Amino acid sequence: MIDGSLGLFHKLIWKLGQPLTIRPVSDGAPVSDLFLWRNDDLGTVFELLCLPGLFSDLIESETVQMMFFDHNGEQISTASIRIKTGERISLNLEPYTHGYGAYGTMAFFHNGKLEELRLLNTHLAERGYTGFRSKDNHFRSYVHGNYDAICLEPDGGLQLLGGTSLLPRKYYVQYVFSPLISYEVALVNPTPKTQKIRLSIFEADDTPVSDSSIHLPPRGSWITKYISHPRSWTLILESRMVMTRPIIFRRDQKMLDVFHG
Amino acid sequence: MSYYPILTAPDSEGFTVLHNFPPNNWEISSRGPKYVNATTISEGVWTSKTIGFLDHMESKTYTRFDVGAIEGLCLLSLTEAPLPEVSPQLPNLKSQTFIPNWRATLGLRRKDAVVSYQGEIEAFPAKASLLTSGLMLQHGQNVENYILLINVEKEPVSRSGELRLFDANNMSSPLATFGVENNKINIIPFDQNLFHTGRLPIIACNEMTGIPLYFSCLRDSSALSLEHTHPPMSLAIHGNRLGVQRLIKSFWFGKMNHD
Repeated sequence: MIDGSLGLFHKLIWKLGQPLTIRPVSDGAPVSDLFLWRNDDLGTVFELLCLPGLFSDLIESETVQMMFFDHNGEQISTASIRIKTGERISLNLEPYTHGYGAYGTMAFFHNGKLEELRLLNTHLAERGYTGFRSKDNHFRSYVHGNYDAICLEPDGGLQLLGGTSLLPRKYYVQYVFSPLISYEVALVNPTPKTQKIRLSIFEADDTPVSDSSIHLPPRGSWITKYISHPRSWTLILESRMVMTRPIIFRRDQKMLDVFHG
Repeated sequence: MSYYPILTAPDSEGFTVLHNFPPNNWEISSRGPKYVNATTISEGVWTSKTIGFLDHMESKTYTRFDVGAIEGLCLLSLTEAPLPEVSPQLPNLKSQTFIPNWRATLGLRRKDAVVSYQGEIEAFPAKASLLTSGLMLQHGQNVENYILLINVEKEPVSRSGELRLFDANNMSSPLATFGVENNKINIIPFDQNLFHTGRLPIIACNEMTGIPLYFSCLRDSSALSLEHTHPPMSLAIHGNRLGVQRLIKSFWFGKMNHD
């Protein structure tokens, strides 16, 4: 770490006013990740439980507000689902996303108006578990939420909470992509501004393989496919998001593995 | 840097890919070659040995075969100087980056299938408890499920505890109980027949905490899943998140004792 005046300068450039997650404007506003849904050759399941019921026996159930967005970040549908305390619902997302493209994002807002949370000056957050499966197989590959991305305001409005950076930042995916295996790299924009994201691929000896850019609108998502490169490779992402962490789908013939980069 | 375990699971080979490059370009971190260490407990103390070096920007995969005769928990690490051969406590290593932490690829291989996640581990306090939900339990005729509870503590002294599985709607008595140990990857069979679909499993341990990894596989090993749950404080952002964790744990451990 750098001390002294250089450390202060570093802090000003990279940290001051640039949190990973902005605090919601409204007290007690529930927060959710922008979870990725897929309705192409993969289906999506989301694991729901009654979060407020984790705090008190007085809460027997709640109604979870669900919102779905297409890959441009446009809202396509809303729905609600009632869940009892102590219940688990493995929610198949196809009925909510069918006909709206191959993928997009979604958010789940729980009842965040708990006195316990108010006293702790905090916000209830859904960062749970999405399961992806091939359409002919019920087995799921799970991945947890990536960001505290969006909150639901009392008037029904939405606030995006992803932090933005003064300067472009590089995110080095700490993963070696295997040769001859296909991958899909999924990106989501949890910030209120359109983000230009640069994706650069290098082989182990720093040989550049490809360099591309996308423009991702707020709440938008993008999946880039990399098919079977002959040698192992690494990925660098560059944008003005504080953290541009992808979700990676490893597709080895019929075998699927999904994880955070 | 943190520590990076080599995973163990039934009928699977664990592998760990270390990366000598940071996850971002803006949190200052040391650049240059690093020692690769393997640390384990031997005869009641933490012992470490250098098993290699990584140049800056280099990655390398390690398995049990690469670390030699280590039984039990094996922790890898990247450091600028070799770790002491013998330590009364686990040498203190912390991630140099936070958004996110400096991670390794932790994986399992079973026949032709591979599964992994990006992770790291630092020592947990001994006076801690575990409370989490089993939302990733999968049902199906040919599905096996396991909880891999990874515990690491500073002290090498052996401790044991009891991991209990409950149905969230009946916390009066556990559906299953397993002995767990500290400084170990505890392999817990997670029987889908205990929890019908729609029932929420609650997993608890009073005596210790750890990272609960959920490993599911098809019996023919054609599909694997590996992911971890988070502690209760991850259910809140901003404010007093630790207070949220204390509240939730107090409520649920209270139900275990009084229902």
